[in-house]
Amino acid sequence: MAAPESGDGNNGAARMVTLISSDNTRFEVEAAAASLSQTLQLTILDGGGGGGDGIPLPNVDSATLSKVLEYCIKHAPAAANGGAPNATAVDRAELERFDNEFVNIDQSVLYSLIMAAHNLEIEGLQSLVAKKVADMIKGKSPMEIRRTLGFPDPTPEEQAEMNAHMLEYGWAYE
Amino acid sequence: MGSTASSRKKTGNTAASRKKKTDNAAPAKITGRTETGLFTPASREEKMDTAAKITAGRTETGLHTMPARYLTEDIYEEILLRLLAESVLRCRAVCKAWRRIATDPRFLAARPRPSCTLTYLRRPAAAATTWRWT
Repeated sequence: MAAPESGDGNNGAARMVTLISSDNTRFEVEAAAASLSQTLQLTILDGGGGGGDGIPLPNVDSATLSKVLEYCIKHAPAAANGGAPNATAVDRAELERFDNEFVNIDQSVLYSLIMAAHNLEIEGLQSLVAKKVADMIKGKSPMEIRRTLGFPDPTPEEQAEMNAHMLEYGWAYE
Repeated sequence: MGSTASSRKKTGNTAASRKKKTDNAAPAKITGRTETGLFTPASREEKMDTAAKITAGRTETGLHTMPARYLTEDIYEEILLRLLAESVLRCRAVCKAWRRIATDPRFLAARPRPSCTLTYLRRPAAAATTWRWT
């Protein structure tokens, strides 16, 4: 008869929430991990997502969501310590290693990840993926950047603009 | 008469389902793409709608097939903010949308380190001979 939330909150077991991806897959995670998302945090604080009814995420598919949650679960303990001021160097190194490994993935997955991180407002993940994409762009010429990101070939007009820009700021391409 | 109505209804349904199928199968046909090939959503609502469509297309095939050109300007901004001035300058040549993002005063103010280069050479479209303080 007791409300499940209060029961979960008071004893040792962590409170769980259910997230539902766009393709209707249900993910059960600790509330602390899901709360890394600013978007979900309020819903979770209001007691949503527990029990039978999950939180639907119509913009995130299951493959992306599982990747996002992998990140959240790994980073939740550090985030709970308030940015982990007392974390050991070993812990920090481990997280860094995880992050590097985590973004070492196929480009298109990277883009769905950053989109999801943006929609869910997971700051750490967003900046991690943005940094990775920035690293892919760094040191490349405009044309190389277009190819790297798979943009369509420039129209003659665009090509002319690109050339004009490069002529003007040639020193930046040395 | 009843049969006419029902057949019309049927036609409508088919058209609707065909439209839906096109949306799913060819996300490249999403409206709102600019001539630069970048998608520039007008509102947050439209952005969500597009995100949903892209997601739907991907789930259908079970593959991640999201090209970088469907990212939103907010996200490009996030990415460009993490580059050094020299790289940002090059990014301005990539396409119109990137040039708009990377010359926006708000973008320049948000960069961790202010750059004279980026701020004063803010008008890459201006002719090399004209110097404009805008």
